[in-house]
Amino acid sequence: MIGVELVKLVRRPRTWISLTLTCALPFVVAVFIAVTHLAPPPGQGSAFLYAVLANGALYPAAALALVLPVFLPVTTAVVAGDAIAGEAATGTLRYLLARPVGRTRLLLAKLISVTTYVVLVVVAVTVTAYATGVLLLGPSHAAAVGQSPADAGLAPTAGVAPGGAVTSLSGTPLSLLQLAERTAGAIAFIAVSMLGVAAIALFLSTVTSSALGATLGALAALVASEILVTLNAAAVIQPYLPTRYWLAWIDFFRDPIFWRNIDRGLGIQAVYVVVLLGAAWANFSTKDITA
Amino acid sequence: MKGQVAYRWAAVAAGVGLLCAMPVIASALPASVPALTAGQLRGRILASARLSYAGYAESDAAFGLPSLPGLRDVTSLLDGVTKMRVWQAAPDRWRVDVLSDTGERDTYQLGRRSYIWDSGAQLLTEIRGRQTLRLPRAADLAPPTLAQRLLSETGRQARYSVAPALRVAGQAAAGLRVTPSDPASTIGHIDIWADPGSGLPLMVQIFARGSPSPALRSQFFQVSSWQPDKAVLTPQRGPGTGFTVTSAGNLSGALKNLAGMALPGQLAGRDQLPASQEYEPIGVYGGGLATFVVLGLRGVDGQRLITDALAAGGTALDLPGGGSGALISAPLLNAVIAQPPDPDTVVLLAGTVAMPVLEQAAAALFTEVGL
Amino acid sequence: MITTRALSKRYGAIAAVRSVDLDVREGDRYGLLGPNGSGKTTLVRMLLGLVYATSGEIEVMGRRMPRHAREVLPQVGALIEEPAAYPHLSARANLALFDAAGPRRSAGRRGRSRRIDDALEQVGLAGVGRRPVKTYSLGMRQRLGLAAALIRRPRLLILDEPGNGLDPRGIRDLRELIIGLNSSGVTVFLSSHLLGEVEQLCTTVGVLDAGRLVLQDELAALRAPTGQILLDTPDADQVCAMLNGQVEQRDGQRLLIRHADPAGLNARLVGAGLRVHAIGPHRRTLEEVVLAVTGTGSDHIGGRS
Repeated sequence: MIGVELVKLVRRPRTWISLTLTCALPFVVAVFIAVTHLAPPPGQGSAFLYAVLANGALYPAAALALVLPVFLPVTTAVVAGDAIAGEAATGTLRYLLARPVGRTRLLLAKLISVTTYVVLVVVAVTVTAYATGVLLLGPSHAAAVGQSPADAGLAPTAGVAPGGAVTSLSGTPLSLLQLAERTAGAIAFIAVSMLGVAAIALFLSTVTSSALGATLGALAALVASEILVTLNAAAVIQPYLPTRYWLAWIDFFRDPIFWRNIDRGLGIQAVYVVVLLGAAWANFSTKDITA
Repeated sequence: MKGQVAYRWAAVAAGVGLLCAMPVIASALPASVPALTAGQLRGRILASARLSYAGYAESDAAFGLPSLPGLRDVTSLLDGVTKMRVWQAAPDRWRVDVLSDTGERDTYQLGRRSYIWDSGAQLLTEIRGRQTLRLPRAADLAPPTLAQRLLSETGRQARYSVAPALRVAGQAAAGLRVTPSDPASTIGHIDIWADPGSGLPLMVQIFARGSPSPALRSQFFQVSSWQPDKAVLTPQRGPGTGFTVTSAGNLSGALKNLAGMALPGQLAGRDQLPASQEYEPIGVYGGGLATFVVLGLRGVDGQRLITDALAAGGTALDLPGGGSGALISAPLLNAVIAQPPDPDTVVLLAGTVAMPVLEQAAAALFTEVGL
Repeated sequence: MITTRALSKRYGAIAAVRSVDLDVREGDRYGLLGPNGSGKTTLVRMLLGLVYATSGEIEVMGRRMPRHAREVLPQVGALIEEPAAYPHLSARANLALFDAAGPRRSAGRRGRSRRIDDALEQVGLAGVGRRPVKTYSLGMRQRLGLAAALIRRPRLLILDEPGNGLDPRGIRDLRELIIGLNSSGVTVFLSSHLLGEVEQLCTTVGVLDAGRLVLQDELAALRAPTGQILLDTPDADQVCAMLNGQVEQRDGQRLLIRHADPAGLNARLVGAGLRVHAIGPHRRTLEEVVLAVTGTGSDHIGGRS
């Protein structure tokens, strides 16, 4: 069944259109920055964008920061909200279940399919952003690669020459290898962050027969969560909000890596997936399929 | 099928309940600590200054200060949440990162040298020389630093008692309550929770007099002893970053336009602390948890401070002899900004003492000293 | 093949199916008749494990449903209301996906390709199997739905309104296909609101009215001679006079006579010099049977509560 869902994902035009559009946003931003040579000053605009003119190798991180707030959750919610409700609307759901496909199996296959999609999008954004970053934006400091941070930047005496390929948020140099590792960590974390959205949309998808309703429901939950995260009065419930630790991927670019929020982010996403998949299972496996 | 539906939803509900209850259960775990007297605990906390540790702490302050231009770094520290990563190898070898969502501001202390990295400005600043005078900074709010400073300055001017044990950062912590003996102090009491074995302070809460909720809470959420790592404590420069060197004297920011004043040895019945006498423009009076500072600001800066204070919610003040100014009253901190009839100098008095004490001190400055 | 005992389904306050005892035997061509809203679709969905019964039992191929869906359903081909397919994929890709879904079969990829060919051939879509389904007409989609039901070479076909969307030629093809499959051993259970379709196709008939199975019998038994003779004669007056008391109904030249032996009556009439256009045993039409048990006409909804 997982194979069937993956084939459906891969052969669906929507998959590739949304993928292209998501990759297009960072590309357009890179083109504008490359043409005008106007990057936002540090501390303003999207994270890491200030640094990409100096070093295109940092553009994948900047690109992830660009697509994370809206594009990724929306495409994830669309795909996950469509998972069951979409099949119900086209009528294929009843034929799949009469094959028979176990309902729990179908839910799991859908979740895996959505996860695959999310990973596909995040990796595609990173790869295209790296290509555009290196081709259009600043060159990477190839000469400094391989210089270990210890002998590059140890600064008991003032004014030592900077070393490394890029600068971490803590001001320390990172080699290209370290940057690659940390970017990989950020990719994995962002992909996991989207699982919570996917689980909400998937659950709603088993409740309603309208894919649009499930998608909008999940997005409404996200917007509500984003608002509550910024509200000090809601501090009590903030650790339970799905978007509370979304920005923790940035902690991969601190030095040393700040694991606390990353761990909690992974934990809360796991909880959302377990709880909502459980709810989806409880609802869907005993539901009368009348569509 | 009816039964099936019920059983499945019951299973899900039980799972949700269990997951939601986990943090509650974890924090409700009994915190059993060995029986320590208040004096023993205070001794251990004061002795913990040389411990090496690393952790993550947050301070949550609600001083209710008006946001004054030029002092924004300080007022933001005293209102709202400050998130800190702390590494300490020794009292003079440490690093504190103040985290924001997309950046950080790191302070390194390496012996007599300190460094500040600002990710927003992409700038590493080295500070040379001893700072005799500086504004409060985030590192002062880390629980061990704050607790040790409070205890060492309080001395005998407070009563110590045992507060109930709590779990802080997953550890059982013994509680110490400090109640100022001076009735003029704005501080009701201070609660400090520390690791009963090592004495490392894990949480500090400062309560204003009569307030049930703390005006300042600084707490570790994660802390452990730490094998000092040179790579962490040493600032390094990444590519594209700037670097400057500055001497400590240039850093005072808002304090750089201080006017020298001849300060009396006693104000409002409180003695000037001997330690503050060597730095002339500033006088510190009282002591322990009822302390106030007096300083003079020159000309335009001082007048702007009064205007800003009034605009930010301060109360207008009239002083005998034609002086005027503003009062700022916050739960923990009171301030008087007063301008004598001769408008060249403005006097700022601020501290953890009741407003009448400050007003009395201001009046005394004008009448007795004849500013 | 299919038996249900006291099968009932309520949606809240509405009873969609009320205590139905269905009995479909192996080799049957079973037609379930009933007006729209009589509970046919709900009943079909319960047989396939899509809708869960409120009470009662279902056995398909001797196994309880929906508990044994994994063993039972692979041997069942189904068309449930309208056909459905992924519109951007071709018919072949759709069939491959549906075949790959569900429990694994021993037949591998090659077997699947051949079975897809066979199914498309059977429903007359062999030439257009590679076109995307979104270009298909309503009738072609219905044929594709049938192909999807046939692809696993099922022992039991459950077809809900299989004639929908088909033109007359398509309906004739469908009838031939079903009869052909049935003669090769496939049991067919179909539901319809079209009397004619069922009458031409089925060997056994069940009638559902407001959720109740009001009739279930073999078509041959339902249409057995009624013990009356239908006579068409220009000399109706004389016949009435001659068979005084036996004529039960007269409609112009057409008489309904209580009599067991058409040949004997014919000989008697001809012997008496009376002319006969047509004479034969009287059989009720299926329509009459259905109307007799359901009372009011089709599409009535008054009986539901």
